[in-house]
Amino acid sequence: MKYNIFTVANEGYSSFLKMFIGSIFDKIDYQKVNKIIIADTGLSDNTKKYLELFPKIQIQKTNLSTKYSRIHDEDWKKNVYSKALLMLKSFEQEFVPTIMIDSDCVIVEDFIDMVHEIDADIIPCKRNQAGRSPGHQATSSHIGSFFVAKTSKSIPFIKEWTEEIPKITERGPDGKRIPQESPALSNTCMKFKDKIKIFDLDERIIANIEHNPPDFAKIFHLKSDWMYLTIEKRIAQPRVSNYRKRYLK
Amino acid sequence: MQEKIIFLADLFKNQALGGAELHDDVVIKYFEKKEAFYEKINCHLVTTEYIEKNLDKIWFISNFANLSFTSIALLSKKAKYVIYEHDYKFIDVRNPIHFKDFLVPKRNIINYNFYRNAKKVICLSKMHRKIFQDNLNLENIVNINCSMWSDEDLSLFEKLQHSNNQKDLFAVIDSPNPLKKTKETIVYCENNSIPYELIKSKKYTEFISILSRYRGLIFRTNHPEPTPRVAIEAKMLGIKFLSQKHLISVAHEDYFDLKGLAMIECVRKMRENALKKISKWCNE
Repeated sequence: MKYNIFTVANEGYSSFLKMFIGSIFDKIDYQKVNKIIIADTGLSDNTKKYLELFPKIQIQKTNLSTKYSRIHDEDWKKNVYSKALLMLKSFEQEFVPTIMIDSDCVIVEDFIDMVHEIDADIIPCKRNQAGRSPGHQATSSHIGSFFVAKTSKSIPFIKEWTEEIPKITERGPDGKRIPQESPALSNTCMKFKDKIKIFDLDERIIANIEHNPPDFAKIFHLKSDWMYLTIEKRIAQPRVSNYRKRYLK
Repeated sequence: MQEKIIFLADLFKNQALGGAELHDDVVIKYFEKKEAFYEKINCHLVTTEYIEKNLDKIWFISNFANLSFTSIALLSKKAKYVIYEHDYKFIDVRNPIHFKDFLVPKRNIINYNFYRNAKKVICLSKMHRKIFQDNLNLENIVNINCSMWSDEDLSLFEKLQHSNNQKDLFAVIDSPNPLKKTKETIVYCENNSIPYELIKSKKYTEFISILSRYRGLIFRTNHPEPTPRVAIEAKMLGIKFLSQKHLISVAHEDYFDLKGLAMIECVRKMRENALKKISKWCNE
């Protein structure tokens, strides 16, 4: 079985995207990949030209044109909250098992065989407290940075997920903005737990956020945290220094 | 041969006299003789535009440490190419010695799809190929059995067969290159009471002439050598070669017991066979 790899990015994330695509090319056996679909929510022509140097890349047009994007600003929300919807769009002609990964991730080890061996209709990423700052309050049981739609039974799940996002409150009890995508995913997992086969994959393995990651981590997620708030700092963090040198030279 | 060949390498013989460059030069001369040669180009000079312009050629890719990542990606995507491997560029640290049984953890593997998409990945010996095969498990990995020398070089080895100036000492290569392990080799000789002298020359023929005067060569290494050339050079000179057998790939080849003229003749035949195989692999 071959998988599509799906991500969404705008120009603000172009450095992340170059590392993401570079690491897929370096680490993942392309025999197991059908296409790498990048939903374009505002990439420059230069970035698109760069990406098209790589095999199996397909740039998917969208009607979004966003700029980066501070966490939780309107453009960031448009990007993040459109991911699942844009993935659904990629199924319009034909369903292909699809692995959705945030573009601020770096592949450090091939994970396709692991995904392939899991008997499930969907594989969401299960939140893990490892790597989060002390006192961090989780707003969801799952994280939307990695998600596998393994069979077509995932389609109603994803539709439900996209419909759930606007129902989640935008502000926490302290008045601060809170994310909506991951809580919506968690709610949808609860709703579908007896309807389809769901396998929770540990965030430490598949979207690791720890500064000193364990050897079993297969994907690093360079999400913003209290130490690395800007894109520049997120890319410059020590755990990805070798990847940065190799892919952003 | 029908399609013309572009030969890609970090350095060529006129720029450096390393084993890879000397070996590559024999292959380049062969392509020239067969009128299959288009041109050679240093990896650092290759651009994506150059690749796009030359997609009708076959790319013969030797050492590619200086090839840009985008060029690697584009060649993988569009070009017909053969990788002529001189070490272990599928490993981020470029040396499998750090891993038990030379089995590299997946996270240390790089360039995976560059190797996968090649028409062939040519290794220099059976052991070299086995390390590639065990780690990458690809069907396009093949091997020749030895490095290559030109007819002029082989004539030199013939002339030096019975050197009258045999010193009852072992030679140790005097090199500032840490990969050559000069300091470690000296310590090894001293710990084992092996009488030795340091030898060096920037001129290849002079270096071989100097080496021929010794009883043997002590060679220490810290990685599984795909050949190494000096092992065969010592054997062709009929002198001893002392090293760590488990790290010397050619020591696991059937012909390694040969020496002197018999080894020279064997090397000549292996070269002819290897060049025919390379020609076939390029055109498959």
